[in-house]
Amino acid sequence: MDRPMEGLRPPSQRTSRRMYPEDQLTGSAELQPGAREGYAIELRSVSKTFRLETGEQVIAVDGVSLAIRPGELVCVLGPSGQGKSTLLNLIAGFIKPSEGEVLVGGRPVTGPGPDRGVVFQRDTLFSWRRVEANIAFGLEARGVAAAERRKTVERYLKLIDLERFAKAWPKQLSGGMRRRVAIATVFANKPDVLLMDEPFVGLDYVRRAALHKVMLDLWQDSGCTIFFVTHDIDEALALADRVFVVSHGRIAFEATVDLDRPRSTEALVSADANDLRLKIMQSIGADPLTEGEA
Amino acid sequence: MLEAPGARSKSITNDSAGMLRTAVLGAIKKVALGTAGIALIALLWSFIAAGTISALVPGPIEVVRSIGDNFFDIPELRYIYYSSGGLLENLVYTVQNVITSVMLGTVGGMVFGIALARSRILKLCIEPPLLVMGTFPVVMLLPFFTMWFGTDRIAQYGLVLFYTFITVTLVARQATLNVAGYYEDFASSLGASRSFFRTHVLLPAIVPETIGAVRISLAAGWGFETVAEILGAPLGAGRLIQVFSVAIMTIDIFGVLLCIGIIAIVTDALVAAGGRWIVRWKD
Repeated sequence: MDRPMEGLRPPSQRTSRRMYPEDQLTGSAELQPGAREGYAIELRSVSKTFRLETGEQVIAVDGVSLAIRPGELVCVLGPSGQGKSTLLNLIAGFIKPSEGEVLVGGRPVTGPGPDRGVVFQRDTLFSWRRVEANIAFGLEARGVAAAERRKTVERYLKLIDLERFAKAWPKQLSGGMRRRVAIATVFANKPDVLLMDEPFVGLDYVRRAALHKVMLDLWQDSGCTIFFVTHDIDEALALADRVFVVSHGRIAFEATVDLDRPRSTEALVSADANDLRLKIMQSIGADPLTEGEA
Repeated sequence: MLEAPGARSKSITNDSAGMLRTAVLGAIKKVALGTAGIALIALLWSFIAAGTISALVPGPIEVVRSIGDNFFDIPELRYIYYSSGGLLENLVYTVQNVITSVMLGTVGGMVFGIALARSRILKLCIEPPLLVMGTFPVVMLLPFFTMWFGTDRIAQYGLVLFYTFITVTLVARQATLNVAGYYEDFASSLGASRSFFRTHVLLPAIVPETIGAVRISLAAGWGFETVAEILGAPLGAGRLIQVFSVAIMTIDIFGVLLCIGIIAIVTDALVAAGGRWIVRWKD
């Protein structure tokens, strides 16, 4: 699906668009048949089992059903090894479910495709391609004409504020700049769904906040749906319309983040935000510092 | 944004100037040390030659003089087995054979290496015999090439081609396995087809490792080619060595060896410099 590109809309205009009735946004509960239409991402009783070398079976995802609306930014939280990345890989089409069905745009996922862009935790920039060629990779792969490619690349270089580095090699960029290029590469391909697997892990708070802004600007510009995996509660509260907590392969908790955008530091430490933060922490698991105390 | 773009580009310019200065100083140091090493060897060579007769170990000056004398024509050989041509004509023949075979072996090896890493069936069928062949002393094949192809050019460059092909195939296969998993998911999620992935991701990604394999093949190639020419060739440095040895022209044999050595060093330096430029994107 190709969307016409628009200029950046002020973040405030998006606030009301992000509110959906909670009864249609189902996490681990069964979906109502009538609510299946029009979802950007839908998982129907999806399970994924891996067999270890020892022969032992490990259930990474256990009967998960969820539905995400077009244009929504959803954060998936949870400790390591609980199935967050497996969920993302299932939606990306990198792995197939052992049971159930994964639908994107109403169509079953059979493999990876340009309608689902992926930003990985690891650095995936092509070292032998200059910054501009990296951003153009997906467009070139899909046979987009050179003139249009150039125009799109220029536009995204401007959006991520790296116009001066169009001809630079990835090795000449800082870690934060490389992440910006990776994000622009995926956004430039105009995916309907963007899957992000802890893309800002390892960055300091200031760089992370700056990248959040870049990402939110690009998201608002494109209107795509984002499935964002993180283990950082603050990051989820800063970004998400809705959060899911995954525990032992299941959706343990789901909530709408009812905070206006843009989300200031004050908003993120408000009573509402702290309330939600506490609920998320409780759903993630025991507090390891007080565990065992009477 | 995170960094002030102006400051960053200025620092890149400063970095580039600094890198250039370091590169130039490094090159000067390298040339100076190399020249000192060559001078030391020449001195040692002169010392050994002075203590023995020139029919066994000629001195460097005699050898250089013989190269000049033999460069375009070697009249002494007309009365033995050799018809015409000088050192230049024979060296050109050898260089052509080595470069052609290394190029063909490299292209074939890269394609085959990628195919081996990507196709499970090919891997299961071909990998075991290929690994066994990789352990063969390739010179062993030389008599067969001579029997099968006589004095045809392929009999000489077949050995270099085979060695390059095996070396590059094994290196390209491993390099492909290293990068394929890393980039494949990302490329496919951007809409890259399998063929686009092969040509735009795998091929450039394995170039750095392949350049190393080419240099190894090239280094070994001069020796293989010369030995193959000694066994049976109408022309070439090896053929000259063989004829000179029959005529007991030791000084001239040393001349051919010196020329081959210089050509090998220059070729390797050119490949290394070209390789550095090609993979200038690498950290």
